[in-house]
Amino acid sequence: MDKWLIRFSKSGTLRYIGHLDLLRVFQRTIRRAGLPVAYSQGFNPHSLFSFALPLPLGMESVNDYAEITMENSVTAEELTGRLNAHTPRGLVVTGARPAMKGEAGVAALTAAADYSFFMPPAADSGACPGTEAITDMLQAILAEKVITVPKKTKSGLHDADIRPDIYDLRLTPDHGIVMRLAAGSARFLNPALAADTLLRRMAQPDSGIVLKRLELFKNENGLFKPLIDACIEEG
Amino acid sequence: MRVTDEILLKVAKPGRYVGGEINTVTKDPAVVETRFAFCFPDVYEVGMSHLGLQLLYFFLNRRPEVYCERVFMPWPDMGALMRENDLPLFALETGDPIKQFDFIGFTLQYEMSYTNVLAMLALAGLPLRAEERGEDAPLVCAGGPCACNPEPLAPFIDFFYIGDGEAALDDIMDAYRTHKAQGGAKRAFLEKIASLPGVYVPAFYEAAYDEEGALVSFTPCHPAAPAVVKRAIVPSLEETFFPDQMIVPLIETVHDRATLEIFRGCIRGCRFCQAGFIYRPVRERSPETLLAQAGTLVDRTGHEEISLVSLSSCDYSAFDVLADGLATQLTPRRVNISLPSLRVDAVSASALEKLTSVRKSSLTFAPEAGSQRLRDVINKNLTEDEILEGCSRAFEAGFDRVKLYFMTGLPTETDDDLMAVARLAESIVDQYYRLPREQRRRPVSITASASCFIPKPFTPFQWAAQDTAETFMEKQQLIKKQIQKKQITYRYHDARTAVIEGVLARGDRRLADVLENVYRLGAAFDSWTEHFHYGLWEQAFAEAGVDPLAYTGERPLEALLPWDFIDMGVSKDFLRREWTRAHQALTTPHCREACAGCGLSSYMGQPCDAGTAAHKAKPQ
Repeated sequence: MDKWLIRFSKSGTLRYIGHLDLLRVFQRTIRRAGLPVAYSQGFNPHSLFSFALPLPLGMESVNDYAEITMENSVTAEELTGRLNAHTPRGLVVTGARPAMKGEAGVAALTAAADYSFFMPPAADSGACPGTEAITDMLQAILAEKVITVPKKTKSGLHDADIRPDIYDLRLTPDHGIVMRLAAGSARFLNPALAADTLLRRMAQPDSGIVLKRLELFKNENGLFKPLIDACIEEG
Repeated sequence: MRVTDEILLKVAKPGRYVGGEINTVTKDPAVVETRFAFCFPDVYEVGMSHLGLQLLYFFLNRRPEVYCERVFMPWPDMGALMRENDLPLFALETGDPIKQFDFIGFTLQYEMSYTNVLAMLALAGLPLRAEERGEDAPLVCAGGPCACNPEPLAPFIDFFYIGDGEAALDDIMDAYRTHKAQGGAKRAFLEKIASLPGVYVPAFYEAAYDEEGALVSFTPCHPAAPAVVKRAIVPSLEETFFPDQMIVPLIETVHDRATLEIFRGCIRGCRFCQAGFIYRPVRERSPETLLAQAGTLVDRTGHEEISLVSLSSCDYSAFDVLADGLATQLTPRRVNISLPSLRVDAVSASALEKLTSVRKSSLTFAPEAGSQRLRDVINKNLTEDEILEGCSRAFEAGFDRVKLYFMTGLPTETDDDLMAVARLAESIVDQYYRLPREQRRRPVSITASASCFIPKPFTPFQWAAQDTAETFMEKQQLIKKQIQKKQITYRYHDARTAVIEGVLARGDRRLADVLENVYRLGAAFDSWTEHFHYGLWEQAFAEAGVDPLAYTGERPLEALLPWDFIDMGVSKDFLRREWTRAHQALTTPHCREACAGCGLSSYMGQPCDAGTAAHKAKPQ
């Protein structure tokens, strides 16, 4: 029995498929591919396949992750190749690696996520601030020690400090804002809340943004590394 | 033009509207000659669970010049956004508006979907009435079981197709191909196909009524139209097309499984059951064919469950061979075998064993009536002992969930019959607890579901009176009070929906005005309890000047029935004989015990073997 991590992208029509449905899509894809996936014991056996972090419906995901346990040995090429021969349009498996000895499960491993979005143009001028301006604003936010927002909890509306869950903010060459936020079962910051908060602090319109999830990270001795790391990431 | 992301993010389950599923057919619309929009008048999840859609989709798409795409009724939230944004009803494969297609075809599976048929025509941007649609509008057709009484929808449809899709659809497509190449009006095409088996063009017939509103004549008013429309039947299923793949939805649907149609028709002759009669004669597929199909279906879909579909799966003459073969083939692949429509008396212990080795679904039995007397009236040849014995065997095999179907409002029913429903459900619970303790892992769960009897055309009960909504509700409560045991969940269907269904099922053309009225008042998704509003129907009837009670009462034997002009193969004489026998509580043996002369053998022009030939013909 070998555990594998796979990396996949979810885009196009597949964006409109929710998390549980995506699980079923994968389960049937695995069966059509004839892959020797392992099953759980017990009354209602299910295939040993699970996701790193659920994706909200409507969100595109560039590098997303799941783990799958195979009953017999396969190669990475076989795994990705056979899956891709049977995935629906919009779902592409882009990489696979065996789980490392002693490595936590992919959900437990996930510590952070990168999300991107484009700043909406101002309603009146239709223009956006320039690169320097945005970069300055993002640095200013990072410089803040505390960012308090009202958060809805079971016991009502509470003020919470979300600054500790914002690990990084940067601007991409094509003018996209990328947020690295806490993600996973231990800590999780809702990206929509984060984006909303950022835009308000930058005094920008906050409606109509489309969030994309770019990557999921594990925390390796204080450094964030993608769950499947093709090359060494610079700190 | 596809629906925008903005709209998709506003609606529930946007996956309903995006297509992109596994095994859908992609063709270049610019290259095909005939575009066919297959419309299922209910929401995506319901329509995608329907085997007929899968069958006809691949049947039509196997023709290179035809592109058949799917259309479902948008959920109210999407419907509203489509109207607000001027987004016309589109097909899933290409996103193209269906008003540009050559054909719009509806499948009529249940009468309560009729308002959705109108809603879809309107959403497509087409006039509802056939006579108001111009030459550039698609040909609107409809088929499916309700087409055996098409009259309430007649003024909205260009032609109905009555019978097996595989029988004459190719001929219709061939005729259209020629017609389109030559050019010509729609009417000319309708004239050409009017003589094909199964085709009914409403515009070519006239109905006349007396002062009380009763139908007095129904005759062709066009030379091309036959006086009697004969149902199209394929003589054998073995040679008939069967898809070796199914579209696999991306979102959860009602039935997420591969489906095998094992035979059509039914030998039992239960007197309330329309399907059993309108799908006769029984035609089976051989177990070899089915096993091959099962394997391919599972390969191509990746489904974890396969369902055997027929009106009475245990009557399949090679059931044990099939069950054995499926278990051998599919159990190692972890595919669960699901059996709807199981008759308790025909389940053998060994068959149950084989089918339950992967995962246990619940077993379904349909006693329909609580007392033996009433079961004899409806010709459900099942004794209480057989029911208990069958449940016993199922329990021993490890089943602990049983579904029971009953009907209230059956002809000659008394309060004693109703109380017998509760007693029967309770004795099944008792039966479970007779098992030794070690064999009872969980408490038993019995679901007793009571629907309301609706007299249907082409059954011996087509003359019967239907109970009023008030009477149904009293009866449902009577049973409820009688059921004491906590292991039994009692469910019952909405009586008012049943009455409307009863009106539409035995209705005539005058109901078209009612349907148009109720649609304009906002009715849609009438088969959904949360969307059915009886008040709208009451108003619609009043505005049309039509009394619903005129349709639900007992019909005189000599009356002209709105569906009499259609020959489904079952003779009216046979139905009358069975109606008389019902009143005497006389049962009629099933087809393999004795031929009751239902009329199908003369209709088919050959002796009827009650479906046993398919596997016998193959060398063993």
